[in-house]
Amino acid sequence: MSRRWQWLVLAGGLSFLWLPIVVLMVYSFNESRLVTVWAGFSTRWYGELFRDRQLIEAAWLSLRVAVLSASSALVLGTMAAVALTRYGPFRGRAVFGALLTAPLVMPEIITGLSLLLLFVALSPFVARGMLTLWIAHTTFATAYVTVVVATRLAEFDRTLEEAALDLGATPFRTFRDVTLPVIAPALLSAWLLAFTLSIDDLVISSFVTGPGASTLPIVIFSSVRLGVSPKVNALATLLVLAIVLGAVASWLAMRRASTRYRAVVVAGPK
Amino acid sequence: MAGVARSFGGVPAVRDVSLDLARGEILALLGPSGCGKSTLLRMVAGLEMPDRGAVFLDGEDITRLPPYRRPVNLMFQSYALFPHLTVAENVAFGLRQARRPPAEVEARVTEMLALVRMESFRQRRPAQLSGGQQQRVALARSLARSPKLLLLDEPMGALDRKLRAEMQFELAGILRRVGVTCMLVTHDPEEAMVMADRVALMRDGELAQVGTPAEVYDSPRDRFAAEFLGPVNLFGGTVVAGGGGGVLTVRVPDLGAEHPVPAPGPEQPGEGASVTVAIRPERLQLAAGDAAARGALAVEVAGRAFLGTHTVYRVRLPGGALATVQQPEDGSPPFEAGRPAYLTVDGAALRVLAD
Amino acid sequence: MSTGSTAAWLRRVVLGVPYLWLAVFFLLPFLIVLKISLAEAIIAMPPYSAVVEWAGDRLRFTATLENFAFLLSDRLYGIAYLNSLRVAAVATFCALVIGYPMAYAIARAPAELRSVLLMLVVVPSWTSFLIRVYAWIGLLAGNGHINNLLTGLGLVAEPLQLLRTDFAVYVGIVYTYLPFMVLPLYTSIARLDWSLAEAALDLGATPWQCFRRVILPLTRGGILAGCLLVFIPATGEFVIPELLGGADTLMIGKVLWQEFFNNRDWPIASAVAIVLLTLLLVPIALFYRYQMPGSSSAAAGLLGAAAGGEARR
Repeated sequence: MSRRWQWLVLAGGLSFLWLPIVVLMVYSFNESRLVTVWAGFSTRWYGELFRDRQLIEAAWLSLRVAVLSASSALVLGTMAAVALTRYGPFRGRAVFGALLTAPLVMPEIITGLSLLLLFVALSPFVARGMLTLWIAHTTFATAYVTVVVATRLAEFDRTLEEAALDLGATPFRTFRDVTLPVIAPALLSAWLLAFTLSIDDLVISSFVTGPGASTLPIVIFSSVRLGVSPKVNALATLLVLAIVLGAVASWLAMRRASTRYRAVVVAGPK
Repeated sequence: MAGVARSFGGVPAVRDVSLDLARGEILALLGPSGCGKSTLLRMVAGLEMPDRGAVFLDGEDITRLPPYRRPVNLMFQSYALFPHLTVAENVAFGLRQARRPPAEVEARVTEMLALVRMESFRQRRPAQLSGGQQQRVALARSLARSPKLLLLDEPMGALDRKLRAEMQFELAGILRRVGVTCMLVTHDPEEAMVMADRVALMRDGELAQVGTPAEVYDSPRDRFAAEFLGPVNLFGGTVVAGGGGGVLTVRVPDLGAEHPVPAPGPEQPGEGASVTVAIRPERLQLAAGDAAARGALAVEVAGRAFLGTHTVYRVRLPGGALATVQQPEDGSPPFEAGRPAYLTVDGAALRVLAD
Repeated sequence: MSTGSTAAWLRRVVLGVPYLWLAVFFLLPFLIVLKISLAEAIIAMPPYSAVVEWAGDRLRFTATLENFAFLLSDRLYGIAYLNSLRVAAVATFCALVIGYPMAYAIARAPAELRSVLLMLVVVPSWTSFLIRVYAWIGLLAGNGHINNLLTGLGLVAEPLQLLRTDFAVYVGIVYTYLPFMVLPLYTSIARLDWSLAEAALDLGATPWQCFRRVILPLTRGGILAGCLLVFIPATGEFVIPELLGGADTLMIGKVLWQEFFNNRDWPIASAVAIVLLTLLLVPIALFYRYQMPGSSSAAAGLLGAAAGGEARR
């Protein structure tokens, strides 16, 4: 492939990925109720969006569930990753590894159905709603966290941990004072990933939620089924902007850190 | 250390090694890669558990102590400096684990950094240091807790050649000044000889020979020891007489004479036994024609390499075998290839090897 | 290193808690699905008969394979399964054809641009899945942007029927899953030892031969990982056929949803899930077998891989 072809392919592919999103965002500022016919600039749909009690409540629920399940998935996933990468062979390791990664490849619709059936079986003790959402989201997000953290732990220089033990740190303090700070960036990205997955989930949430606990995707889905609505465009624009800004900010921060690091290495100490 | 052994998946890495260190001594574990020297070191550090045997420190059995309860510190080959901590925090790490008061930690860190001449780098991160500087920080960190025994795993392994030669002397100097007992692992005989009081040569998980650098170099016990420490000439010989006082008389056909040679060990080969005789190239000497009278061998120069401080010759002995001669460079004219020369043998430097 | 009872206790907790969680909330649910697929539908809450019952003095099993027999007898299910597999396979192939050149171009781009380009591929996948599908409704609708453009340019007289067709489903799947294809491909292409390609060219291979005989075989792992990461979830896809497909777009995810939520036939829905899982067993096993070190992390760590991995290098 020649250089020019490569750029052409890339430009084509990237516009395929981005054009639909950009069009969607542009038309959120459309005056008309018809999403696809431009009738002048307006921010009225944003106003309507913020007056929609149902959407605001759903967003608040989604946010709470996402923070909770990302946090608990981070703890569970990190524990699992430590067990997988640090404990050597133990009985049931193969089953454990398979269980951990299964949610990555399982069709959502099966995970959702099976979790709901479990919650029904447990119904005298488990009320469907925020609790079941939290359990379900934690379960699938744990798999993603485990993979991210285990990857980082696997490439982690084991001698750092040995050095800490050698210098008198107990295994627990070694983990707290050395391992944790070194893998902190991976933990942050794992948490963000779990958060994003949770706030985005529709299929599993639809199965396991109960009356009165509609997450944002569930509300959007039921409105989208009835057709396009400029209000959804406005909401989508806000979500995309938040994610793009967050991504760019974290990317810039990481790039600055790494270029500063590189500059020092190249220049060398005085 | 007494009868220590360890295998990995049925493959023995270290078998039945017993070794003693005197207080303040620097001992080098020397051997080719895979000989088990690093495993032995890690067992002393507590990072591996021996399958058999025990490790004693000051008479106390520390075999089952976890690494963080042993008064032993290890300087890692990669240095293993914590990337998220500054130089000062790295050095303070072990002291903070021991919950020493902050003022004491501070004073000790300053003292240690002064020892390795890194005071001005306190606030740097490891990534901002050169290899040699990282090594010194690693040393300061391992010494900060005043270990009873300091372990060094290939201390020069991560440095380039030129820096290595400098640091060997500097590191040995610091260790002697501190007076700490040391065990270092290396595959480089020169490094072992520069830094250590005693060398323990290892092969296939066993000790091959233990002694001062001069003992091991000059009187290798067997062929492996002879060849590992440096270039050596080996000749076949026959024992003519098993003389008293541990001296054998050996006839070496290649060298055209009978030589009195110290016996390799307690069990002496009997009369008529074939043995291998070793001599270092610098103990052979080439001379021009006039030396023939003094029992020198007439040889033919086969090849020559000028190496600055000395010249290495390959010479063909009367019997047809080749020998290596290392001639100090003193400005005298070189011996040309293809020309005859006369070879003198320093008989006192001949050694009979076991097996 | 067994180091005292605290350490051993800690170890047990670290291993035990996630293990237990997954056993209760992932493994157990599957066993329940299996059980219910063997039950009969009844009008009650929950709407299925008991499979294992305590009948006074003994356990009574009343399992039935009727649900599975029903799936076989009604052609609708067979068509839905085959259709799902076909749609997923075609969409996976399209994603590969689009994704490979993209991944290749990114891997060959100047180093300082690579992380930006990777971010541009990954960021859309962080934005809501639902919203990305929704965006295509506006594009494909009868009065949507594409039809407006085509009629405006006079290329077509009548608006085309784009939305609610299989075509829309393909577009939707390729669009939403493309990043999952590009990332593992990029990882394996970036890891390639380019001197091998140069050696092939030096030995007289044309660029095409070099690509087919050297580069393609060496990036097989990435291709397999990318394809499975698209194929497996696409087979069970529900949202895309529901929003973009037509009434005649039969996909098994949609069927399962309808059996469960509209018909409230839990045993049939469970049987549908069991059969779907059985069908996917081979690709899932393949995924486990050939999982390259970087591929699952590429999928899971869309975030970490793109941002962290590149910066770290």
